[in-house]
Amino acid sequence: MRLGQVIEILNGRVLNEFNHAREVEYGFETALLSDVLAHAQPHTTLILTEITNHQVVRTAEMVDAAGVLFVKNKMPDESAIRLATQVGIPLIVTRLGMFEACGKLYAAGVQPARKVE
Amino acid sequence: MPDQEITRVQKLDFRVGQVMSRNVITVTPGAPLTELKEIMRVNRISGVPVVNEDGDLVGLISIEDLFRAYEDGAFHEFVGGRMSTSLITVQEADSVDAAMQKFQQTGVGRLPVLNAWGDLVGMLTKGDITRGLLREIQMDTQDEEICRYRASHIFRDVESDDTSLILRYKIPPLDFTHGGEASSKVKHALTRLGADMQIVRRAAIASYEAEMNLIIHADHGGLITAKVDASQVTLTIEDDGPGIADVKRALEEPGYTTTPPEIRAMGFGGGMGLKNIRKCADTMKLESEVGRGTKLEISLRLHSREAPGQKR
Repeated sequence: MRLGQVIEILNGRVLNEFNHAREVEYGFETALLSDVLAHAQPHTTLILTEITNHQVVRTAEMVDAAGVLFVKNKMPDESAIRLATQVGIPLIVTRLGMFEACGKLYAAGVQPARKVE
Repeated sequence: MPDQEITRVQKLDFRVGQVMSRNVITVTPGAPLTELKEIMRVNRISGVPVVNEDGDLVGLISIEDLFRAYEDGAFHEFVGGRMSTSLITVQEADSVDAAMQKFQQTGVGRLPVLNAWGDLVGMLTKGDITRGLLREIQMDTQDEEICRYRASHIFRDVESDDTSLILRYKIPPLDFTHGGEASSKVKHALTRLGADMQIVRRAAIASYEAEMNLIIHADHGGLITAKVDASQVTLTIEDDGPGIADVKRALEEPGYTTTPPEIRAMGFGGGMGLKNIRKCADTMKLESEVGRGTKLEISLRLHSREAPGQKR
């Protein structure tokens, strides 16, 4: 699916400028950035999280994530948004909680990025 | 705008939120027209959205409305009595294509942009769309490719028995705001040098894990050195303490961590860092002594055609 569809499905708000046509194939919900670094699939993983610090943006940059989605209306600060814009990471925020956000994306065909071992 | 251009806009899938002006100047219905005139003059704008005290959009007032009021001799009236209340708006998630059609159908010059909850988040003019398009076209230019081509041929252009590029970064302790900057620069450099994207990604992840380790654990921070030659990148990450007490456990035991809880709350220290670094690298050497410091050396072949992670 496209980021634009993600925004629609989750009634999301965009926090910076990005290409809404960017492809999202996998979703990765996390409270642990190392987990993202170890398991995210390249380019098409959307990271769902409540973490709003700079490091979530940096992590997304390193793994070439498709974007970061903040749940429960958690807002990163202005400088984290600036950093994301600088390094080309789309940021979206939704009012929905993690469970509902993941559920809606999964139902719409987004696959889990973390493989069950 | 010619048809071809419109097709291109559709292909770009531009959204209103990407091109609109975000810093919106607003007035209240109770503002005098004289004040509005000043706002328009100082900011050189020809239309202003009108919001009530709750921040809800209630109207739009343009320079034409102002002219008409002055023709009527109504200098001393207020914005509320002269604004237009039949509001035509767009959503920030709407496509630019749809917004263009709205401009054409309604003949208005500016559209207030609302988010999904109906809050005013921006203004859109045809000028904003043009600027957005120009930005995109500029990005299409080949500058980046030319830079990349030149950089990727550096090892062929410069002759020596052993050419390498050394990038060195000092990492201060506990600087979480800038944490990752060095790895971001390493990533950018490797990309410029023409390395395979998957390899760049693995190098960036390993470097970032190591960089965060320095920030979290090293007493005085540390040093990251990236040595790039024609065939591989070698990353050396070193510090002068405290040293890892149980190297074997840190490397082998899943979830083993010495990271303090307040840093774990930031999303780090799952006891996965060193394991992940080893997974990303082609070779890895870790030496550590308590009280003396830690030196981690990893290397990745730059042009291997192997699938990443094959050696897991």
